[in-house]
Amino acid sequence: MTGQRFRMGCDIGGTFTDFVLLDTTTGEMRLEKCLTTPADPSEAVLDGVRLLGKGAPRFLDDTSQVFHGTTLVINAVIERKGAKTALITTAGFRDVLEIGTERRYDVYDLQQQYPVPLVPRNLRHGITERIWSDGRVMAPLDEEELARVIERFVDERVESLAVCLLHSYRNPVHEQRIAAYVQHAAPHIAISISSDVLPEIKEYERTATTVVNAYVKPVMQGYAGRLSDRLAASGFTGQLLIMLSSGGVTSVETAMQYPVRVIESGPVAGVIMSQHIAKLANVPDVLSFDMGGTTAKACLLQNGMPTRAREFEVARVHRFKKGSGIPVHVPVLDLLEIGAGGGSIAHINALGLLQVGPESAGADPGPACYGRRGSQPTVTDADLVLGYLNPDYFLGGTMRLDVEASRAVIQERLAAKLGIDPLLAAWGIHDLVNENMAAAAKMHLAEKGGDPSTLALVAFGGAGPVHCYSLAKKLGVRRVIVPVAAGVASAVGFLTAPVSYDVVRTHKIALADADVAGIEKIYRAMEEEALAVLRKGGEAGEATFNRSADIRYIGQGYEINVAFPARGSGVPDRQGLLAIFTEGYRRFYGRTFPENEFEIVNLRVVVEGPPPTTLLQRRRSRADGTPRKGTRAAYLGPEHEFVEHAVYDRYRLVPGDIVHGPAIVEERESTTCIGRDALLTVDEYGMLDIRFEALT
Amino acid sequence: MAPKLNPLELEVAWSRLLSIVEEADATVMRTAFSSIIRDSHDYSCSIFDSRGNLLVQAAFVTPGHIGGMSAALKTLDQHIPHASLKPGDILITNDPWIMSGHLPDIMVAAPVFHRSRLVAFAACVFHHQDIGGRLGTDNREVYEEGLQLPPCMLYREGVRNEDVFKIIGANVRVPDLVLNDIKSQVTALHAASDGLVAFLAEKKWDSLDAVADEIFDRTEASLRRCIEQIHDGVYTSTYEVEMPDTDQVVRLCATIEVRGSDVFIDFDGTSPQVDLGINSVYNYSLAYCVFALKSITDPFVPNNAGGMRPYHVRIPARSILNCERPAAVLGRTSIGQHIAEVIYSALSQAVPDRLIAQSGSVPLWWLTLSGYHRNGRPFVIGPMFSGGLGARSSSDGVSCLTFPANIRNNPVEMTESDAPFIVERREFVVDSGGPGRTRGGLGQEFTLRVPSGDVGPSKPVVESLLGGRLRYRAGGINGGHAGSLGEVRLNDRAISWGKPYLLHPGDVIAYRTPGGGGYGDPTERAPEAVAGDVREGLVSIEAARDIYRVAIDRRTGAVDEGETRRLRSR
Repeated sequence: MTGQRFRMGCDIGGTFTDFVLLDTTTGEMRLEKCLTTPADPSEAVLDGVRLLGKGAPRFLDDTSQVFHGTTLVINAVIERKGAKTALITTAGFRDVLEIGTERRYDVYDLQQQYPVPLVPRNLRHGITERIWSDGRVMAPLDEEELARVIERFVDERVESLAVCLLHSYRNPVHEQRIAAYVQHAAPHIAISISSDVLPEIKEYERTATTVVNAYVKPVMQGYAGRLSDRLAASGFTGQLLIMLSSGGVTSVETAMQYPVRVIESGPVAGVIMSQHIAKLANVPDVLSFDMGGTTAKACLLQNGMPTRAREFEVARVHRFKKGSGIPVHVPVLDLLEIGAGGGSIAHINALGLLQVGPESAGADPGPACYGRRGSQPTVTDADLVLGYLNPDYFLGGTMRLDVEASRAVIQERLAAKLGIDPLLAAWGIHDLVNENMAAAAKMHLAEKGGDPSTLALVAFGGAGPVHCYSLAKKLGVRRVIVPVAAGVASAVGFLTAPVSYDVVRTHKIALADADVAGIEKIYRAMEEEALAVLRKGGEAGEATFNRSADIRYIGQGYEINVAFPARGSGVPDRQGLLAIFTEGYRRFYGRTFPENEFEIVNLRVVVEGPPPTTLLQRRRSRADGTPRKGTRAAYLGPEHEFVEHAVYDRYRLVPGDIVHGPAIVEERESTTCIGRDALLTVDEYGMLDIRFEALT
Repeated sequence: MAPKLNPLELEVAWSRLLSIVEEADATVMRTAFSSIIRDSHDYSCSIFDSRGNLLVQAAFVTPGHIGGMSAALKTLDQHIPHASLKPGDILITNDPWIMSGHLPDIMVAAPVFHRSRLVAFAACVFHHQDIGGRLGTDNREVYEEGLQLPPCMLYREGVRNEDVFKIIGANVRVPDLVLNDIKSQVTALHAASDGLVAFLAEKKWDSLDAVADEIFDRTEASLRRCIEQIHDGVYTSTYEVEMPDTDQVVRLCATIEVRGSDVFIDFDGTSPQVDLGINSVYNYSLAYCVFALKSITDPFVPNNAGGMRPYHVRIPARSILNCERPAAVLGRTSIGQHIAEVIYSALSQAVPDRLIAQSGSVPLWWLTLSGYHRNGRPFVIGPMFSGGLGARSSSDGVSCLTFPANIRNNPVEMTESDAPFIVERREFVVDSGGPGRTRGGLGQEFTLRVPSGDVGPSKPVVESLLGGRLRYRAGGINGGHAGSLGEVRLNDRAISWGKPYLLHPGDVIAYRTPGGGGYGDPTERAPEAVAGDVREGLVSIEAARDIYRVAIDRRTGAVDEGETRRLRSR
């Protein structure tokens, strides 16, 4: 019988692997961080287990679940470290993968480059077969040709095969036949068929997604297999669960089958953590705001739910240029990624204007203040010069920051050229990065219909709490929450995610012809299917089912997703559906056209296990010492100049403590800064709950 | 009143305006009905200041639309004075001379009001799937090309002008598609207007014009700094373009004078307008002048009215690049897009590193197929397929990339779902990229079969292709070779573009788009790069040997170093 006392979360990032161990009997959380081991990332996991074991010997024996997220999949694509992959298409279409959309992502740039296809042309084969748009077989699959091409791929030492045939979303028979043949004739080749990975119309996007899946499949299988083995060898008998890009978690087996669904699993964990915070703080709408070294990620949650998207782009040639990467159509949380982090570089552009990012100094050389030959001014340098960061308490004092280096680089690269005081230039960097984030976040909110005046900002990541106050002011947000362990909050997110699975079924029918009872039947079948996957993932608790449909006016090419009433209430009649669709369309676009007719395109079901029981436990009273460390002057712009801020030690604050701004709260992995109209209360879970008072 | 902004505030306001126009763009993609809009993205959204100056445009636009709208917003004032507009009004026109040069392009524009003052215009152009008239380029006058909509009111103070909808509906082959797409245009303008008003309210500004002026001035200054980098001088180019279905050619002549930070272009010597549907209006020609110059001077600063100021363009009246009514204009892409090549060619000595060789994708290959499904329902579809981009000084041309227009291809699965055809091939054409130190991009073969029986159409289908380069290749530069010619074959017999053909069940039509030109001497191309091209089947082993002078071992695919040295030393 598996032990139930602990749950572990681990997040493998590009540089660090973060760990959280939760003792469910005490609510105590242990955090660890160790260097990622790129050659075999499962090694770092064992390192972390050893470190955690120092405080909780042989805890794995008594652990029910290990939750796991990884940037491994996306990095394999970005760094081109996936498997040797081949592709079979319908004859005549082997170049669809490379021809792509034929569109330029930058209208004026004559030098633009595109990602090199993951499968070279000599490993792409068009096979004789044809299925038409209504699903009928126009030409049978040529089995002899199949045998020959698989033989060639075996000779070429192909490790993984993607198959994407025209109209297979409508009739998968030939793709399935190829899969069956390969499993029999060349079982060592991993196989991904498009009707399985992404049964949706549009051959380029379906091919690209299937190819990414194939490209990372052996990587994921090898790695997840080793990880399972190593954990088992260390005494772990519970479930290993993998975070999906959609925010759910799933079994290792499913992740190995559809690794493309794991692609955004790192950043998504932060959103799930915010979801948990929203529940604890009892706020329906929050904006999750995670600002790290390279990028900031924002995601709106309404009524506790993040919006989902079905499209995503990986390995962009230009990180922030849409269309310069490989399209991947999988369920993902609709995250906004902005090129704004602590390492973002400030420079003067061709127009003589100050610009911050999107280029980042990364961890190496990093900001100038790291003293690692960084010669470009960054956001962290500005924050340091302005007095927000404590040079002697960065990462808890394990790394000293060089203020003079920051000042010098800001003077030389920016202030001298703009003819202004370096302090003003530093303020410019800080203010502009906040403006950039605010502008992007406003757009994100506007798109989703979020209202800044009623939502709370949940700020985390190394730089998030430093910038959250100004960002909130610019957005018109009146409340900010900084969670416990703000610097490693993503790893905490793993422990708060319910096990879930999405199923989609294309069911294209005009609303006027919709058979309500038939739809109910389809939903039930989908729910059974999803539930089976969920149970396989080890979730035995009560499941919730969310039904929705993708709808549009007949003839449109894009759908909007509208929620359906829950399982128990059944599918409403056509009149009821019309009301739901009309309201959904109006909310999205502001205008409806009653003379046009709606149609249903896809039916969707998300099945979720129960959320883990409350993660953050209520905090105890003060152990020792006063939380106030002293004061420090920090610059608040030309209007106020330097203002004395009270400085607090986060670890000595206890529930009920109240701090008036201007103040700075320091913790190991981050620093929270609040202005003079802010009132900070430490809530019962130890979170910093910041509200703005009306200033007279 | 908008205050004088400091550089930081300006950057923020500018970003916000860009995100508002992007939102309008995304709204179109989500709400449009026709494949040419939602899949091919043949539309452009932009925002203008209260005086009708282009302020921001979405990231995905096509230059012809932008040039058309920029001119139209100003001209509209003479037809429907800006001062007479009221909140809720929406204007519409497709006049080729007012707007972007052919009838399928319909612009819908809305004045934006804030605190009862006109503060901006939101506008978008769709290349609609159909506008009636006779397809093809063998029309003599614009009257044969479909419905003309002079500037008129689509909405008056929020109330729809049903007459306009009815007139359009009665004149096009697929009224549902066209009218619904116009609704999508209206929805997009709604999104842009809402965004602008919210932005002004939040900033407590009652005008955008001061911000606009600051943006224009900075854009102009940046562009002028870039133009100053080009040596002063007079550069000329003469260029020949084929005419459809005849042996005649069109001559395009440009004289470009760079003087300090100004550029003067004169198209004197260019052929007169013709009695075929390939004439270009001034707006369209100007658009591709501006595009070409921006792409080699200052490509990264967002485009707006300030970026027009250093250019002084003269095009002789009644020439094929400045045609007068009632010239036929449907296929103006086939001539007007070559302006980019003429300008690059003239400036090839002035800025060699920034230029690309001629492109197989100039001009756009855009096909229209019109007919009836088996059940009698009409269809019109507009698939496009691009040739190869010309090689760049330090990298190969991209294979199959639209240029200088910028639209997306149609997924084959969409084409086959919308219309009764079977697409048999969409694949690179081997050896089509012009050889060079860097290679031109490859063209593609797009083959279509008209099936018989219940899968096929109920009547013969009208086919019309706007294209080019069946007789004149995309040339290479600095020793690079030309790309392959384009080719159209109906049942394996060569045919021309332009004139419409009737396709019958059983017919197979193959379109081979031209390849891009090469850059530099092909015998200087790295042997490894040639071997890579041979391995991938982009270049034949014979071409590698005869043109690149690289010997490839047939068995291993590796470079035969000794033999290559011998070939290259000859």
